[in-house]
Amino acid sequence: MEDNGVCPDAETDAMVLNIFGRHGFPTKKLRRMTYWMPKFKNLSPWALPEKIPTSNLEVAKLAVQRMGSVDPATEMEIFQTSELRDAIDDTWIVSGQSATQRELLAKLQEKKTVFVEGAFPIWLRRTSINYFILRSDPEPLSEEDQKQRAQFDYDDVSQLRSWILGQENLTRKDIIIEPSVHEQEDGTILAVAVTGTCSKDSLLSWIRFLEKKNPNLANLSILFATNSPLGEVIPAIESSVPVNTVKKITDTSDL
Amino acid sequence: MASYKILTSKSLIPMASRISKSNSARTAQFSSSAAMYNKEIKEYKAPQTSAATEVKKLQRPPFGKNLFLGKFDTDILAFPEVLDKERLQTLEELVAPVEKFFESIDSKKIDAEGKIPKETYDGLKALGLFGQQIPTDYGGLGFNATEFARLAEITALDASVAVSLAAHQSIGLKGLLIAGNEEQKAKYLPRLATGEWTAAFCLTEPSSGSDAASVQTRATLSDNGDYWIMNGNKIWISNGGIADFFTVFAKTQVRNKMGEMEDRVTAFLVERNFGGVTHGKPEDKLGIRGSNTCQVYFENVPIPKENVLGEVGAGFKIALNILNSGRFSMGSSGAGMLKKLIGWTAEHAVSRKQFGKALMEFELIQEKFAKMACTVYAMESMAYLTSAMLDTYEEPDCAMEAAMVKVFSSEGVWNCTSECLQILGGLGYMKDYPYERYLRDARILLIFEGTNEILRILISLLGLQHAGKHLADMVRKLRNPTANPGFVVKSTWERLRRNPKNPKLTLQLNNFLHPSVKVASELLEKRVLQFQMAVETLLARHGKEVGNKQMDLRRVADVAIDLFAMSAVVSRSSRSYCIGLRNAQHEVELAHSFCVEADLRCERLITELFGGDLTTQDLAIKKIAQTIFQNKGYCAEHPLKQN
Repeated sequence: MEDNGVCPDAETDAMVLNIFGRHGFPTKKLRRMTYWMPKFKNLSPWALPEKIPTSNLEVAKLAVQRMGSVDPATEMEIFQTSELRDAIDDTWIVSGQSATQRELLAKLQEKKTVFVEGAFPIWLRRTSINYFILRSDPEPLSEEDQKQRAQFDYDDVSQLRSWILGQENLTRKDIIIEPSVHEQEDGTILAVAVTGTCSKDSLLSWIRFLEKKNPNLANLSILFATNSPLGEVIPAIESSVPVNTVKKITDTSDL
Repeated sequence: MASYKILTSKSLIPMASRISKSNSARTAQFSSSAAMYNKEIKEYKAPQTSAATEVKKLQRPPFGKNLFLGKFDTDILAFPEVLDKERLQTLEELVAPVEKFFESIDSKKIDAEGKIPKETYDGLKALGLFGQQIPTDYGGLGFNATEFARLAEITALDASVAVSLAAHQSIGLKGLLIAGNEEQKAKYLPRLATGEWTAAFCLTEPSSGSDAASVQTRATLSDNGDYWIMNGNKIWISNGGIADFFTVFAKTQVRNKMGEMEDRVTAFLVERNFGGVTHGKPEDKLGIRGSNTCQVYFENVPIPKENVLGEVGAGFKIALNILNSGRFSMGSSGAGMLKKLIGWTAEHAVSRKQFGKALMEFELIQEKFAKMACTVYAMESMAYLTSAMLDTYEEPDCAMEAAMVKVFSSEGVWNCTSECLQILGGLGYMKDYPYERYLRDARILLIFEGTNEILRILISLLGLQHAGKHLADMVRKLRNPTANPGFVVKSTWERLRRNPKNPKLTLQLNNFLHPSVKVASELLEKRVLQFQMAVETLLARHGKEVGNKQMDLRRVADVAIDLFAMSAVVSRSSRSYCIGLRNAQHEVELAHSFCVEADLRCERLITELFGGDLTTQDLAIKKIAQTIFQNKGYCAEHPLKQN
C-alpha cells in the first residue's frame, strides 16, 4: 500500500484486525501507516492540489506562487502579450514580484546591467515547468560597511538612538540592517516569470510589463543571458512556436 | 475521519494507565490470551453501512458542572467527530454557494442606509437559510447543531444579516421546535422555513431586560375561554417591523398548587394578522444597523388558546431554553468573521512598510496577531465542542457550556476586532474600510442574548448549584466548626496534604492526549484540581449567601470559562496532530500558547478565591461604589481646588 501511496481507512483496519488479530505485525504496521501517512500527506508547506492541473497556465500559477512564498509580500500578476503593441507572440506571462524587489530595482544605478536568465525547471510533484528570472549582480557590503559591522559595539548603551525618538541619520553604528531574502551571494533576484512560449519575445514583453511598475528599468541595460551562474539553463528559443510543454513522468501514478 | 476513529479506539489509549494496573489484572490478561487460541476463527463480515442507521446518543454527565466537583469527563479529550463523510461532504457543498452569496452583499450600503434590501432577503430564502434547523419534513434544511454552527461562520460576514437570520430562526421560531405540539409545528413551520413568514422573539420590555420574569405584558383569558387577550408593548425586538410571527411572553393568571391565583409567564405564538399588533419606527443603532429593531405594541390582540406554547405558566422556562439553545453559535460566527478579518489585516501587515521594514517584522504586531490567532482557535474549539455535545449526547445539559462560549466569544471578538483596527492604524478608523463597521457590529455581542455579566452569574450559579447538592453535608459541617471540630480538623489536614498551591496531578489527563500537548494538559489539570478546592472554599465561606457575592461569582465563572477553553483547545489540537491535519504543529503551538495565558489568568483568580477578602479589593470596591452613588457621580475634588 505504501508504494502506491494509499492511506488506510476504517474498513481496511477492520479487515486486517479480523484476519490477523490485534497483536501481530500486520495490524501494528497498518496502525502505524494510519498514523504517519496522513501526516506526511499534509506536511509540505507548499500545498499542491491532489491532481496537478494539465493546463500550462495553472501549473505556471502554482509555480510562481511557490517561488514567491519566500517573501509574503509577493504579488503574482498575469499579463497577456496581446495587450502590447509590438509583441510577436501571443501568450500569457505569469510574473511574480514583491514590493521589496521593486525597491531593490528602484535603487539600482543608471546603466547597471540586469540579466534575464533562464529557463530553469521547477518540479511540482511529477510535473515540471520552465521559468525565467530577472537578476542583478550581487552587491556585497562595501569595505567601510563591513568594517563598521565588524566593529559594531553591542555593549555600548551610552548613545541609544532610535527612529521612534525622532533621531535621523542613523548610521551603521546604531542599527544593523539585514539584507532581504532576495539578496543572495550570487545575485539579487528582482522578479520571476513563466511564459507560455519560452521565447525571447515573450521575455521582452515581460520586461515591458515590468517597466510599468518599475520605471527604473528603462534606465538599466538588460541582457538576455544564455548561461547563468545560478545553474544549468535551458536556453530560450527565438521563434514563437510554443515549446513550453509541461513535462510529466507518467510511468507510475501521479503522486 | 477514519483514521481518527481508529486512533481513539480503546485498543490504543490509554496504554499507560492500563499497564500500571495490578498484577492480578496482568495474569488475567495472559490467561485470556491463551483462551483466545481455543476460539474458532471468525469469518470476516464487512461492516454494514446504511444511511438509515440511527446514531446512538451517548449518556454523559454534564461536563461543565462536574468541573466544579473536580470530575473531568475525559471523553471530551477525544474531540468528537459528529458528521460522517457523507454529511460533511453535503455541508461543504452547501457552504460554497452561501459564501459566494455573502461576498456579493454590499454591507457598507446596508450599514449606511440602515436596512437590508429585498434582494438580499430573497437570496437568503432561496438558499434555504431561513429554515436551517427546521426538520426536512417541514421544508427546512434539518441541520444539527454542528452544521448550523458551520453556516454561522459564513453568515457572520455581514452582522446585520446574521442578526436578522438569528432573530428569525435561533430565537424567533425555536420555541416551536423546542416546545411546540404537532399542530402548531405543522401550521407554522412550513411557512417559516421557506421564509414566507419571518419570526421574531418578544421578551424584552422597557422595565424588564435582563430580569425576564418581570414582564408586564398581560394576557387574560376571554369569557368563553377560547381566546386570550394580550396587551402590552415590547422594545428592541429584532425583525419587529418585518415579522409576521411572534413568540411573545406575557404574564397570565395561573392557579398554583395552593389553589391561589398568581402571575406566571406564558409563551404565546402570535400572528400579525390576528389584529392589534403594531410596530414603531426602526431604531437608529450603533451597529447591526441593517437589522430591523423596533418597538412592538400589542393592543387587545386576540390569541386562540391553541396558540399557547407549552403549558400555561411555563413560559419562563421555555424562554430560557430558547435563549440557551442559540448561544453556542456565537463562537463559530465570531471565529468565521475574525478569520476573514485577520486575513485582510495580515495582508496589510505584510505589505505595509514603515521605517524601512514591513509591519510584520515588528514584535508588537507579531504579538497582536499571535494573540488573535490563539483567541480565534479557542473560540472555534469551544463552539464546535459544545455543538458536538449537543448533537451526540442524550438530553444534553449544555446551558453552562453555551454560556461560556458566548461570554468568551463576544469579548474575544470585541478585543480582536479592536486590535485589527489598531494594526491598520488610521486606515482602520476610516469608513472606507470595513473595520470600523465590524467593530461597531461587534459591540452588541456583549449585550444581547444575555448580557455577559448575567451569563457569568449564570455560569457560576449553575455550577455551584450542582456542586452544592453534592457538598451540602461537608459545607454545613465546615461552617459550624465548633459543632464538628473533628471533621474540620480532618478536612483542613486533608486540604493541606493536597497542597492547594501545587496539587498532585491525579487525573492523568495527558494519558488521553498526544504527548506534544502534555505541558498544556498538565497546566489544565492543575487548575481543574485547584478550582475544585476553590469552589469548596467559596461555598464554605459564604454558605447560602454565595449567590449575592457577585465579585466572587465572576471569578469562579472566569476560571470555569478558561478551563473549558483549555480543554477544548487541548483536545482539538491533540486530535489534529494525531490525524495529521495540515499545520497541526501550528495548532499545537496555538493551544500551548493559549493554555499558558489562560493559566496565568487562572493563577490570579484562584489566588483571590482562596484568599478571600484578604487578597482582594472587594470591600474597598463596595465602599468606593457606595460613595459614588451617594454623590451621584465622581466625587473627588478637582485637583486644582484650593481649600
